[in-house]
Amino acid sequence: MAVLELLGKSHLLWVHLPIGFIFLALVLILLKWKKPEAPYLNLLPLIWRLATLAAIFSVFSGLLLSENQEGTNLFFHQYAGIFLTMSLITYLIFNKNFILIFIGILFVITIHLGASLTHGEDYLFKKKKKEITQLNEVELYEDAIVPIFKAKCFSCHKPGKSKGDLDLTNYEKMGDKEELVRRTHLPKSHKEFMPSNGKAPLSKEQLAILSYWVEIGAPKTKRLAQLQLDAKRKSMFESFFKLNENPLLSLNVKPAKYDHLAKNGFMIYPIFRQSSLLEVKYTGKGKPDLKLLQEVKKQVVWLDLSNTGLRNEDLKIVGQLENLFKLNLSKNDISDQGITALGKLKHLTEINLYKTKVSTEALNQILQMPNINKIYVWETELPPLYLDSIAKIKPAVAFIYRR
Amino acid sequence: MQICKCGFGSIALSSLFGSYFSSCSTSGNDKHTTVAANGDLQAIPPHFLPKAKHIIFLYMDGGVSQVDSFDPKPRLDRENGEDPFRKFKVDNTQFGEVGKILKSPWNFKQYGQSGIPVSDLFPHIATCVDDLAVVRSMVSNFPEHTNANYFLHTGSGLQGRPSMGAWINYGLGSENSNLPGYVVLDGGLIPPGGLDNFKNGFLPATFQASLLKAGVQPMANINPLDSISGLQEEKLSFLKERDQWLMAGQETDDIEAAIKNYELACKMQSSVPELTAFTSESAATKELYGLNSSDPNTRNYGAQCLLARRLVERGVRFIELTCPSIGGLDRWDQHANLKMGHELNAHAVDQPIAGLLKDLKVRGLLDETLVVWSGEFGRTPFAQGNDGRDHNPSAFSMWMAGGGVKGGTIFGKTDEYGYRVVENPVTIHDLHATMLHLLGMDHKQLTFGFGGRDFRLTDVHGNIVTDILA
Repeated sequence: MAVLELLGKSHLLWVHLPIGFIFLALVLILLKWKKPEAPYLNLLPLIWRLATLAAIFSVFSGLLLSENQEGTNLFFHQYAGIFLTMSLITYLIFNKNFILIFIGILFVITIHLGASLTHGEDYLFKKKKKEITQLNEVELYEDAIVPIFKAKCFSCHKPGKSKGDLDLTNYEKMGDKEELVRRTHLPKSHKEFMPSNGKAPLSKEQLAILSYWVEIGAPKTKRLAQLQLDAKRKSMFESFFKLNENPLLSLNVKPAKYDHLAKNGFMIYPIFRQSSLLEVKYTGKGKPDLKLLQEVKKQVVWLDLSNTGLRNEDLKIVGQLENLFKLNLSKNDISDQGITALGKLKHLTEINLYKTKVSTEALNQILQMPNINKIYVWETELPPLYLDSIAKIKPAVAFIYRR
Repeated sequence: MQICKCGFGSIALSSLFGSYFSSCSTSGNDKHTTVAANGDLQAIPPHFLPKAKHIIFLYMDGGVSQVDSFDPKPRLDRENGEDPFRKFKVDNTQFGEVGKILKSPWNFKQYGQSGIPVSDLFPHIATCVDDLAVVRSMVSNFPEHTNANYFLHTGSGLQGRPSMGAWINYGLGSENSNLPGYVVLDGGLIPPGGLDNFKNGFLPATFQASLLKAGVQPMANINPLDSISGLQEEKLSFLKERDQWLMAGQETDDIEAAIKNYELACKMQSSVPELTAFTSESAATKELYGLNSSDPNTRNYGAQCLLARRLVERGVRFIELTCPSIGGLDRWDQHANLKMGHELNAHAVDQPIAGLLKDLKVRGLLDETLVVWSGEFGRTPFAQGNDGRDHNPSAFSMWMAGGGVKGGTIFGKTDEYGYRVVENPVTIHDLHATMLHLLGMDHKQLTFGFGGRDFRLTDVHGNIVTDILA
């Protein structure tokens, strides 16, 4: 029932109250030693009552929340919490100071285990996740396999909750690793499929990496640099560590309104669904009103102004579109002078200048751009032989100028 | 009818009213709004970052022989004239006239930096190999033209499903509301299976192909019949008014499609003549496509290829070129006279296709246009009769270029005779899944509810061929 589920989830709300109240009460008791007449000590009984009430709510919501869960941490947390609540009630009734010792101990146990359940046992002293920027840095087991286990297996196979007696956090105690491969590759409906209990299966990538690791003998300390990776495996790891992700996808911009542009001859829409990045092409009659582009200054990544009667002055506005990746200025009467306005386009990877009047100065300017890798310069003022020699000096850039 | 929209209730009702109401309502498919508020077809963003935005499908109708084009087999040279039954298990063929092992009448040379071998049939296309991803391991499920054509075009061997172009327009809409989003350039030969290869099936009627024929009048009625200007607009407005009155409160797909159809036709009366006039093309361009060739078939196919580039420039999503009609030949289907037939066909298409690839590239269009060159199946490595080759669905070659494809690669392998695939088979479903993937679409998510279940181009199959993606 959804209501019970919600009540169960309210446990996470309630627990903060007894923590606060008990902590406050304990602090006040310590102060009592130093200043026995302090007026706020009158509040102590009230605080204990509030703490008890909040603890009772916590226990009930906690029981609902832990409906289908199990594990040693949960077991001890649950009973510590229950005994804590019982101690609080006993203290309220009998008001004996020695009960406070029990309350103190049970308090610490309960909250510590509760926190471990929420964010993992190693939270306080967890190693900071290594930022992988190069494949050479990767340690196969530590950086690839352990995260896969963490994502898909640890919830049931760790110390304190070792289903099937399997603890995957410990390399030495892992047992038959081929069994891991076998089980994770089974069809989801199979009895022995892992991960079980409706948990998401390993992704194709995770399966491939796990299989590879077991295939080469499941080494604990081998780095990728020590292994002879073929091209396919290399790109598998690159993709796993997100080393070859298109920089377009890591751009973070707020979505912009562009109805105004659409009404004025601009064809404009997101580069893919739910993206705030935009593709713009001018398809209207007459010259485009480029000032409108300033409304989407940060969002435009692909811009096509081919054959729109652009002049050199117009490129000043284009140069302000800071996130442009692809720019098509072909078939316009523009030249080197206009291109100077584009100097700040640091993301630009592709520029189309066919059938324009650009020449060597413009080309040099464009080659300064840090990310440029494709330049279309057919039917420009640039002689093909000149471009042949430039192409040799700049092998990382593709020059397209011959049919 | 509201309760059992797609069940027997609607069948009974439509039999009472005739098939006026379209079968299933598209209420489950409303997430696809390809029609903007003002009635124009508009582009829809793809599921994820796309590589390509257009597809040019160069259909090599009839089945090009793989061992004579892109899959050289020296063993056929060595064993020419020998009995295939002593070499391998011979599958049943269409005509059952199994002859001897037939070596390729053409030589193969390696080209480009990638060194991909291409036969002498395609010397011009060969100069573009560094942009091609050649797949040698295509397989089809059907050994006969009609079924195989339906399979290649619609993902099903049976008649009646929507074609690739229809699905793609359904998924991505159109960038140009003055032209249809799906155009078939009719070179003279409609493939076996007929126009159902290009239809919309159960998708809304707006997504079917528009056929443009070669010649002075590319389409019927492209020139307005009404001599008084404005009269045609008035007629269409009146029709629209009446249609919308009829639409009020009813299942409206067909009527809406009809209205859209008239409106598009009206716009095409100005957009198509502009499209088909090559006056703005330079002499060098026309020469590149083979428009000055002494071979009339090359000239015709060249015009089609040039038209295809112009369609891409105008934002058309899916363009298919049919096989040119060459006197005395039955497409690429050389059951006899392999040498003469394949040579004439190749000569017609070779220079124009190479011209198209080069022209697209230099204008910056190749990166966003996926060019697909494929037949519906391959041919046998042993002869049919003396000098032909029969159908072989077990292995054939095709290539793709542009649009996010890795150039200069070969994918998949056939056995030493080129008869069956031994490594990395690619099914038609895989091809479709890959094409959709390059357009930024997840082939599993592009669905349409019909007859009680969701359909997709790849039905319940299809794996993306990741190895040929750049």
